[in-house]
Amino acid sequence: MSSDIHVGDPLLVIEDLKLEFKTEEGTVKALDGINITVKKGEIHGVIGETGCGKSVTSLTTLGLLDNNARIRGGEVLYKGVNLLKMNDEDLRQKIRGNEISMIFQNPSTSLNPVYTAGEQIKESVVIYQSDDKKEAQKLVLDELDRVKLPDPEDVYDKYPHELSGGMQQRVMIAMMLACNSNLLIADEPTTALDVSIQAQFLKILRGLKESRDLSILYITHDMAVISEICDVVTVMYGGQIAEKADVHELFKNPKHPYTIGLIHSVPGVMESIEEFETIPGTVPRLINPPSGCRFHPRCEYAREICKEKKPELEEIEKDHFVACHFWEEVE
Amino acid sequence: MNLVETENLKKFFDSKKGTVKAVNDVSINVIKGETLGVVGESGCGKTTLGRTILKLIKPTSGKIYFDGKDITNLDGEDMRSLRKKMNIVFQDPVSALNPQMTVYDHLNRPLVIHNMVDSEEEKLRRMVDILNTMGLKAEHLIRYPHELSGGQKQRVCIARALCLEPDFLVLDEPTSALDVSVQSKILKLLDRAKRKFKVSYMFISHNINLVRAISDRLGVMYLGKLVEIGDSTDIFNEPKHPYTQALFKSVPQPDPDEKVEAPLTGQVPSPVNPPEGCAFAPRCPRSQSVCERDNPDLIEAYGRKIACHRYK
Ligand SMILES: Nc1ncnc2c1ncn2[C@@H]1O[C@H](COP(=O)(O)OP(=O)(O)OP(=O)(O)O)[C@@H](O)[C@H]1O
Ligand SMILES: Nc1ncnc2c1ncn2[C@@H]1O[C@H](COP(=O)(O)OP(=O)(O)OP(=O)(O)O)[C@@H](O)[C@H]1O
Ligand code: SF4
Ligand SMILES: [Mg+2]
Ligand SMILES: [Mg+2]
Repeated sequence: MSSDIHVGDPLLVIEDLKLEFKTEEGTVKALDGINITVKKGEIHGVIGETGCGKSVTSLTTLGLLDNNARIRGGEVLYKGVNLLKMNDEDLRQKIRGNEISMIFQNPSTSLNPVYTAGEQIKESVVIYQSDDKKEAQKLVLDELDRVKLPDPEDVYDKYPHELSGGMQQRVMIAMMLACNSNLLIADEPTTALDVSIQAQFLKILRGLKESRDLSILYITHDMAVISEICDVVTVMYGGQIAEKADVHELFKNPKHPYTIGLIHSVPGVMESIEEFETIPGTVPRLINPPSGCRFHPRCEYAREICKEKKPELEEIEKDHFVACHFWEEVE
Repeated sequence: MNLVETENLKKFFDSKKGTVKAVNDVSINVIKGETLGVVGESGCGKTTLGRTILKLIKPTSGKIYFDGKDITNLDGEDMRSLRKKMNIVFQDPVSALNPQMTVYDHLNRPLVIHNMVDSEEEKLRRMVDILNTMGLKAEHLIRYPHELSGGQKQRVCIARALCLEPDFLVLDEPTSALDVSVQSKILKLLDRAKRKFKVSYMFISHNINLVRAISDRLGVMYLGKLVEIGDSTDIFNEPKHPYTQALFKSVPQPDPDEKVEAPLTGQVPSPVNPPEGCAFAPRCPRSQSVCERDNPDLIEAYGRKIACHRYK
């Protein structure tokens, strides 16, 4: 695997990925042509509502899909090598942890209840940093300290159920940072954290990007977090890409009605909860997704053509892509 | 009129390194009919406080009052009949529901255990009424958890908690795992249910703007202690405790040009060996020598209660 990849070069290239799940009720068309490029040293955000395919995109990358998944097309190139063609053994040996590590969405189910926090992190440290027992222990404590856990020595000996939700999440994060990988996939890593710890955590990630040129695929449904940390953003809706742009461009000049809806839905200062306005309607079921533009049932700009024809992802300005028939009218 | 009140409540856990003071001398009250928001750093003891008040775990010391009655040592039949008056909803609806049980089963159990209904007819009427209140329909009764979306699952959890007509609910991050549009719906439904069923809430959340919108009063915790409590609007307009100020400054804005500067730095203190004086002193931008020496009392100031030496 080539290692002379420089900052700004593509590290992970997901190309036209199509994915389905077979279920009793029918075929779930989970991903319908997803393109995402994460460059070396870049933090790439992926945002969208529940079920739009954020997690399965990352699980495909690591070869961790459920048995009922069928890849219908596309490539996932990491340093130029197609991971979809790699066997499980190689993925485990050469990719997971080593090159790409992942913080999973749900900390309480991804930590092992029968091992203490310290033992679990030590496993990563021993594999990826040092197999000297004494040193490994110290490195674990450093990792726990780095994610701002109080009293690392105490947390080291604690079992997951003895930690608060946010502490479990930080243990997960420490475990992944211990891998020293080149690409970090972080799937909703801060849902259980309070805003001040979240702010510190985001700062840690930015620091790693600066110091180690770490690349991050950052998955979330929080637009405010996206604006805090990401360089580039991909907005997903119903298994498709709605919009993609540099973070400043996306917030200053959003062109997809869905992106605008997401930006406006961030809860601001409100007198009462009745003022909390969001995008009307609900996310589509992907067994029978809406025809044409999958967003049309919820879109205030939708017209006849939106039901009939799927809008192509169009480059409307350099590096700014939108899939909407009426993007020129949107404001 | 207080519905819930604690007096010097403590909940300690033993750990290898010593005693974890998860809830350390908290006197807090929930007024009848209100929503009390509770915020604070991850691990500061919010969940433990909620669980201790509901007597899901045994307090180490201190007193708990419910509707004026000391319930600290209540057990057996008395505690059982109190159970239906107070309940809790957790963040994670997935693990809170039994995959083998339908929505009907989930609602049926508490209604039967607590003898809440006389006939099957009345039971169904009540189930449907509660489901409607949470924006679900009668047809959802026959569904299993895997046939529901995340938001629908959480609505079922809330419906289950509401169906015993409790007086008091602890909502522990009830929507933080959900999309904003679903959050908005559920929080509005909760707010309306509060009036319809005359229930009081303790609402624990990390989303500062949501807490602000939904709470009548706000309590701010830091390392097992209550550091500021009072009218929610007052505190949001003018936070006084340096921790509250730092917390509010950490709220990210949806604007890439405005970054949060992570104002809280310094070593996070441990609930095993809390600092001698004010627990926040090691990280406080305004600490003075007295702060490291003495623990500040929670005192009345600015129409609220604050525990900080800066306010005397
Ligand atoms: N094993 C599976 N079998 C059938 N459908 C599945 C399976 N795994 C995922 N899906 C479906 O694939 C779609 C994408 O799911 P995914 O978990 O990627 O969503 P997400 O964007 O991560 O949502 P969330 O924000 O809730 O985490 C959903 O419609 C989901 O129901
Ligand atoms: N069963 C237990 N055994 C030992 N320690 C525990 C136990 N439960 C909680 N603790 C400790 O008590 C402290 C408070 O935990 P708690 O879960 O109440 O925090 P929290 O404020 O709800 O945090 P979060 O916002 O992360 O959910 C933590 O230091 C935690 O490790
Ligand atoms: S293509 Fe049509 S339905 Fe889709 S976002 Fe644009 S205007 Fe709305
Ligand atoms: Mg997901
Ligand atoms: Mg908690």
